[in-house]
Amino acid sequence: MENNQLNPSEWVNKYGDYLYNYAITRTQSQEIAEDLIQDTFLSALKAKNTFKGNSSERTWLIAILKRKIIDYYRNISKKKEDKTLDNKPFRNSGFFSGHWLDNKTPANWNIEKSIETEELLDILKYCLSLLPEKWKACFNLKNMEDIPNKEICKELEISESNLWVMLHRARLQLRECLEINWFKK
Amino acid sequence: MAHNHHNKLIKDKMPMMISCDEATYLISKNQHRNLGFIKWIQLKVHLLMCVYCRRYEKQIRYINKVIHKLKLSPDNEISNYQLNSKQKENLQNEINKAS
Repeated sequence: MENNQLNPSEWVNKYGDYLYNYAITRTQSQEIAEDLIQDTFLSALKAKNTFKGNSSERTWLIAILKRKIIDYYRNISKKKEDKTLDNKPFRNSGFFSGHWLDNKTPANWNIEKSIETEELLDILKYCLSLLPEKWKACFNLKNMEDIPNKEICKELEISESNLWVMLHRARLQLRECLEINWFKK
Repeated sequence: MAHNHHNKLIKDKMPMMISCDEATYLISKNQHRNLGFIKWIQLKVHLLMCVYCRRYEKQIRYINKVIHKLKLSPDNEISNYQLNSKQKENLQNEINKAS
């Protein structure tokens, strides 16, 4: 049965580029993506006997890569952030505490005229890459990998309210970055 | 303690009023789950009064859409990175060594 067989000598040629792109869109880094697919292939070799042939070779490799991406984010989110993260776009005192700072209010985007080109996706990747590691971990696992909340919290060792706060902060920063680099250009 | 007490007084007097910081937090959370009735009303009331948070909500929905595009880009071949021959050779060597 050809379909149930693994052919490691064909992996790089057949699936290398797809897995590479998959990892780049989820980590926003070519270097990290290259490391992750190497890890994926090596783990797949070790786990060769567990391949039952229920899924295709490709689906099986993607599942292993997904696991590698979660592990990657778990590891980086354990590290302490070195910069202080108090750059919310809201006033932090006075009667209007919690309201938008005058120079940080969202501009009127011309969404209808914005064409979703490859360039926009590149800017989005760039903006994602600027997020602090923990926010990036939360944002990517939630929005790119669709991992359930409970699992994200377990992997990243955070509470669920922590997760909501970090997704919130990530969105504030991402929005501002897209405004500066795409809509105001 | 005094601070908490003060916040509680404001909330008791104006239970529907939330700040833009809270409103944008609820907008973000609302992308993933139901807020519950009270929070949902608080957000709606705030959005009626605040043009910037209305923009924010619209922009967040647009960003979700673009994120979705990015997520699917390897399948649609919009994301078109290719491993060069040297990278492929290295990967294949690693696999051969481990096989």
